Amino acid sequence: MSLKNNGIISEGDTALAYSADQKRYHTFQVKICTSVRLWKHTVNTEGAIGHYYGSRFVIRGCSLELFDPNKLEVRLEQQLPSEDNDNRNLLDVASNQKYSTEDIQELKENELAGEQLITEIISGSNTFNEKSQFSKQKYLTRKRAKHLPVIFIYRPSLRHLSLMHYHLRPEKIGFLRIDTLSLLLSLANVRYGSRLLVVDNFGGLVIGAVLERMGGGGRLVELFTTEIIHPRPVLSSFSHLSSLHWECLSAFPLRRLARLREYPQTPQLSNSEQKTNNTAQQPISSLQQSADSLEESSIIEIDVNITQNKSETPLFEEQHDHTPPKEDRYCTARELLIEGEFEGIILASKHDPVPILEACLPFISSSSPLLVYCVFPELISNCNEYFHSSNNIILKNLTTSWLRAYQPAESKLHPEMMSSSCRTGYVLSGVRVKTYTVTPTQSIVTPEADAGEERSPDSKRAKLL
Amino acid sequence: MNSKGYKSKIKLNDTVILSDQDGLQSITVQPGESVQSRNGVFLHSDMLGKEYGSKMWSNKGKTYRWALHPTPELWTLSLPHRTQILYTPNISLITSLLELIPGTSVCESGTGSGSLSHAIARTIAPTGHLYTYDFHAERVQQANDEFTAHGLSELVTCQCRDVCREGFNVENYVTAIFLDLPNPWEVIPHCPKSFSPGYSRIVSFSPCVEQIQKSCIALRESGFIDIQMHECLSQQLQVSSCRITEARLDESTDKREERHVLSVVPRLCMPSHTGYLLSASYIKCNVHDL
Ligand SMILES: C[S@@+](CC[C@H](N)C(=O)[O-])C[C@H]1O[C@@H](n2cnc3c(N)ncnc32)[C@H](O)[C@@H]1O
Repeated sequence: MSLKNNGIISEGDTALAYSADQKRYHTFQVKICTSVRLWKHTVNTEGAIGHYYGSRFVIRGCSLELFDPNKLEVRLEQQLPSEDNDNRNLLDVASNQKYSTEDIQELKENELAGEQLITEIISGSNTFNEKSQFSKQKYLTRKRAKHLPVIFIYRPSLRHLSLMHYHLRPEKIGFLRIDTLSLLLSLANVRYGSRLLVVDNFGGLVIGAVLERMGGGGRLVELFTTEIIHPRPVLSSFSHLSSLHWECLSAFPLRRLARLREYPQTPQLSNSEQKTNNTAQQPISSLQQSADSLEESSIIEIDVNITQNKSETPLFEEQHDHTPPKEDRYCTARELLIEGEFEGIILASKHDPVPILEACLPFISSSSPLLVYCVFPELISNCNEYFHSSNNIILKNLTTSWLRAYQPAESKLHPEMMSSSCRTGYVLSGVRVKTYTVTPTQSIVTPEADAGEERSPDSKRAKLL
Repeated sequence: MNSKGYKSKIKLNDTVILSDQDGLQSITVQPGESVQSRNGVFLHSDMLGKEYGSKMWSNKGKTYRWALHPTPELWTLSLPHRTQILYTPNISLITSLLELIPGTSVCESGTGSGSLSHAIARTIAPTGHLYTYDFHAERVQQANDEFTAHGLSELVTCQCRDVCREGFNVENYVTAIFLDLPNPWEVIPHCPKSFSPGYSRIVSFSPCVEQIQKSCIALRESGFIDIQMHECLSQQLQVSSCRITEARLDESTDKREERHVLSVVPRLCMPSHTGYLLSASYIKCNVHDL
């Protein structure tokens, strides 16, 4: 269940660079000899190797150096507030700084690296000593950020990845902000050994997060709504997950779920046997059959392409190494679905969730959490109606999460001025319970099948149903 | 609730969450025991062998409860309150901010009513460990009883200890610490010694700004980095069907169109403050490197 490495930055790792000043992440590969581009800087990341993930580094020229706060030469003396300056004497004129941009560039080229540069810039400022303590600190921070940027290097994790993707392209991940995503994971009781259904139209963020929380134990069956599974950059950014994690994942096309319910095949049969068996049993038109095999072959073709491009856009990462023979590609998921008894579902889809949920419910055991995430209020209100009209969903709750970031400080504590993370979607949750009526459409794989055996406590019950 | 996973049938000594319109209640299934309610009695023995998620009828058949499989989230809604507790919206964000995964070892204080402890134990199972501390002996005892009843005793160690004065009795071991007590800044200086070498996380929950400010100073002075502060609230929504009538735009007709639209609206009241979450990272150099 351990992640890929022991927490030490190593050659070949995929790591995240984080700039606290800009609140931005950047993914890169740790490599000796080759430089990577981190925002405006071209940097050789060799200097980070051997240090712990989470450490801070200074970008000095084109190399990385471990940041040591004890080496900061410019320190501000702590002053009592009463002795502090205020801004009444400050004039906003260009001559406040005696060094021009060119001068500073020259200072840099003269190897006046690091803290000396900052000292020099401060001594060049006529107004620095007149500034209030707070403004001095701000000035210093700004100069350091500009001339000696400090970055964090992190190992990818659910926390960092959700923050990163939300910041980069919130619409790609359906505005699943960290608080909303975390809520889905908690309410779905995701843990080591979970057995979950997931529909994820948001780049695979939910799938990656669930796999991380399963820690390499459990079953996640992805029901995909597309024709084929497209490469998903968000999911592949979970590069810290090991093959053990990826082995928990299997996928099944949602559009075949109905047929699976009608004609569940015994898992013991090999796939080709199943096919013949199938044709014998069910009168599907030959047209449908050929269309299906056509579709199957196109999937394979595209998949081959994906495998070839693996280095760039890994689909299921190492899962490829374990991919069963092609015609068997849904075999694992199919068997799991036939067994049913899933302990919950997370449905994070851009489609109308109601028909999807209806199709999935028979595979979910009773007393299991149901989670629906939608970006649009129109879709969630429909689904809310569905929850309320169902006789087998209880503890219904519709919420949206609100998150506010603050600038943490001992004094001048206040909310961040600009919030670029206002938007998220709606979370509808409920718990599936046993149904007591068997409707004609319900098929043999539904857990309701044994409902008839339920003891009827007395005559009153019929009335209450 | 334990890591052994989901059970489908109710057995003796199981914790079962009973749910009706009014709320949730947790029970431990015992022979001869029963649950009293206004409209009837539920015998524990009637529940044995029933599938989780079944409807349980009272002896006279007048009322029912759903018998649910326990989860940390249902436990949070049904546990006996001995202190203020954390609820799922904060708990889930805390879990992500602490970067908990199966296998993480965690220190927590105070244990309080164990609401958060149960959620942590679920996430770090089966190989992680939770060390949770409270200086209130009776709460420690009750929490321990619950952890045992819920099959969590191998995952959780709950001890009576004043962590402000003594810190945690775990060294070089955990990678996450959570604080929910009145003076977190007194505990923060003790935290680094409990962290294992490498990257660790801390989150502290405090209702007041002053607590955050003092904790901020303590975090900086103790060498914590990447200090962040969040506030998270859950807004309860309801869907209502609104009747919309068209405005009359001319005099020729008296007939006005009427239709219904479904609309998502917030409830009139919502909890608008719980507390602030202060989070930070710590990098502990290996003792051999120094
Ligand atoms: C608000 S409760 C924690 C609730 C808990 N997070 C939950 O979700 O159930 C705070 C607890 O901290 C404990 N506490 C306060 N100061 C303490 C100290 N110095 N050492 C240990 N525990 C302390 C209190 O006894 C109380 O039970």
